[in-house]
Amino acid sequence: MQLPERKELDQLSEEKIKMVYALADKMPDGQLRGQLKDQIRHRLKKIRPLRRLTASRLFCLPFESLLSNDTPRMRTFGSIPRNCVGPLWSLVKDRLTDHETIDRIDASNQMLMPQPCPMVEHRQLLASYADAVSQIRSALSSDREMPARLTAMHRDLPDVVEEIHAIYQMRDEILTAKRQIIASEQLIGIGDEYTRSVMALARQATAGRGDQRWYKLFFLVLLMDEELADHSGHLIEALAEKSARGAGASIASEVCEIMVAREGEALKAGFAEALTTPAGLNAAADQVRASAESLGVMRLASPHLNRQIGESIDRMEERIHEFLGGQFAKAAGAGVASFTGATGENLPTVDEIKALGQTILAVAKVQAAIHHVYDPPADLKELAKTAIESVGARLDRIAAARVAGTMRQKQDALAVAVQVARSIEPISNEETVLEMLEDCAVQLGFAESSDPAQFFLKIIQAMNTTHE
Amino acid sequence: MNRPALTRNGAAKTAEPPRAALGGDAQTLHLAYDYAPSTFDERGTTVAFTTPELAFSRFRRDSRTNHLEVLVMGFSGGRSIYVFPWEGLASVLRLTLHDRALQAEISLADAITPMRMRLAAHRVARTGLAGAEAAAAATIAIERIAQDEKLTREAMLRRIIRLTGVLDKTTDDLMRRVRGRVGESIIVQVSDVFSKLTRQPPELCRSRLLELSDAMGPLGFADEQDAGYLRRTLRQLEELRTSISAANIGATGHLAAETAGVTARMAERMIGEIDREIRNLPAFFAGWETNIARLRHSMDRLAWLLDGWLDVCELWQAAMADRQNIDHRRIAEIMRIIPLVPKGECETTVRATMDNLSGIRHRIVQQLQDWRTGEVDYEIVSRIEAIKARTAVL
Repeated sequence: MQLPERKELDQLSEEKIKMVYALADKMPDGQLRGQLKDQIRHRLKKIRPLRRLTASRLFCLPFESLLSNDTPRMRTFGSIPRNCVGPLWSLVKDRLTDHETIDRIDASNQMLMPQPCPMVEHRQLLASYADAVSQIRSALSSDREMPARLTAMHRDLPDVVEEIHAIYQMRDEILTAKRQIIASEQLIGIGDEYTRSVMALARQATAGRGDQRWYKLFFLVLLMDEELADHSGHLIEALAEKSARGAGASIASEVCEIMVAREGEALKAGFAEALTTPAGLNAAADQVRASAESLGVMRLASPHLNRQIGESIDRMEERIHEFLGGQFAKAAGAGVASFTGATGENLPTVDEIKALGQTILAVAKVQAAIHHVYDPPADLKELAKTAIESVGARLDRIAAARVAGTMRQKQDALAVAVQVARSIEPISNEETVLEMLEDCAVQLGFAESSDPAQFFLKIIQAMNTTHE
Repeated sequence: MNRPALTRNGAAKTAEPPRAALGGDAQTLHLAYDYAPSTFDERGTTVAFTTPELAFSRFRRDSRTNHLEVLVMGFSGGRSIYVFPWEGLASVLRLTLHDRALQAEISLADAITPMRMRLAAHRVARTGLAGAEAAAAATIAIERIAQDEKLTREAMLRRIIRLTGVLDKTTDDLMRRVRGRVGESIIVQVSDVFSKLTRQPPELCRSRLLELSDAMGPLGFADEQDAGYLRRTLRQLEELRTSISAANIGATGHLAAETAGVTARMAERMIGEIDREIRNLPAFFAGWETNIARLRHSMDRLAWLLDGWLDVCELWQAAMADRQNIDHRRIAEIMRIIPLVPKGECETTVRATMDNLSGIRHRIVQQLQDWRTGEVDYEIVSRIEAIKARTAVL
């Protein structure tokens, strides 16, 4: 069976992607199913379609945020390769006694609700999963052949089993922490006070373990959870503060190091995407912004962390800087040029204006994202400047061609000028964009006023008279 | 960090808390420091700004100084409601082009009531400054206002025709078909007959008929299908209340549904009173001066009461778009802007609910400006523009 190309899938609307996902979910061939899902996974992260509740998905729930699609040569701690899950699940299933419940869940046709408070039946199942993982882990140390058997299934499986076992043992505390963090968003509740409680839960979960990796995993599961992304600053701050006081000084640094490495992987994947459309540019800008924000949070905590973290963040920011000044600026420039380079005095279409607006929005997004870190790259700065000038020049051409036109033609041109001015607004200052609009309006014979309020009133009158 | 707004004389100012109730319980004392408007005037009318910090803010005239003001909720991320002088708004914040135009239009039209504000917002949106979608929606909305006026006028004429028996049974068909001059001639014909019934001069009767249909325009007549913007808004509010109750999202949802329910009940009662009032047209005309003033007052109150709810409906739909992942930030935004019924305007029985909600609402923190750059966040602007476009076409 021939799977569609990723490019083709990228063209699909959100609704269609949901349909593709629902179909993929029903594919009997596990390998093909996995391949197809991998093709659309970057979009699924944003769209988050409803997922069918299955026993294996329930198994992944406690460590879902650590799942990773990429399989670098050296797996980093806390990163669970997605293709490890299949073999591990089959081992877990072999050790489960209650297959009836599993079959019932798989056949239930329910949807997975990722609430941090599992149903009673699911809690029981999670407990039996924990037992099964625990048995596999024990077998790893008691059965000499077991490590080799697991490595044959997946080279990282023995290590992954250790980590999943730890997470499973801490699952109640992790879910409680998640619930508390989410509750803080819902008006009545804990506010920012949750950090103290989360720290206490982490201590409780790792008490008597004597293994700092558990503590790190506890925070990694929370920090990697996209739903909790807005709270990572508070959590890292709390962790760094604790580290600064001497207790487990390296934990915060190590957690941050893993997170920086993850950001690096995400950026690498994001930068490899094509930037041929405004949507592509915006996706890259979103990626840059998310990474810049995440790195910014860690930089704030960096005085309490190892020096290497600061250096890693510097390296990542340099990569962002290079990307923005090179590939991104070039693609955005091409987007603007396709609008401004149109020959003749034809009015731009609605789609052309929309594409310009989206391109400008992407530029504005990255400018805002990096503003606090460093000056925008020279090429990006230049792009913003020339975009305003060249868009203004196109509006002038349009207006000049209609000076002797009918009132209707002039009004149509003014309508276009207003929308184009609005598109350029995010990267321009108020006066420049207002001047651009006024130049065009005056050429068309509509308004001349030294007072911006009066100018706007004339524009409103002109645009409303058109239709009255 | 709280950034106090500047008044014209440069002094920092926030909404004045009402005086603490004497001998009240702890909750009353706590609530005494919450902002709680006493009247619709004090609450202000929702302004269709697209600048994120100003989205869903309210506009009013300070009764003491007669100056215009904007009330911004959660501006600095704190509990306070900031009061900005209208004229100095652009010196405090960077406004979008759309908002600068809207500010000019509102000042010109003195749009301090919801109905005037609605028209001002549509006129500005029609320029395209809030995007092509909002422009198209505003054009449809303005056409709809004109259509509502026409439908109300025709509905009223039908009532009078039935009352006077001036035309035969084919009136309804005729009314559906007549437009322009023929329609005008019917008004003349009908009002002449009606003037005999009310014992008022024909000219006066005609102008009063037109005035009455103009006053009833936003509401329309009860038995007309899909009549009146305010009736349609009430329907949406009732659907919202049902939807929030059904969603069962806890205490916040309960309070939001309760507020929607209180508002809907008050609106239903007010509409019921207007409908009863207008049912007996000869009696209405007999006490014209008093009745028309009362009708206009009731209509204004109804518009004030329902003002701001369409935005809430939109935010609710956005929050619930993905039921698997309810967007609690949108819910928080709803609670920030939810139009509380002013204390002085509601019955004692619902005051407790309002007090309770007022207290809850101020626990919400919302920060909208990009704190690093101080620039407008144009993604949020786009979202607000989309909301404006959707709420315009009701």
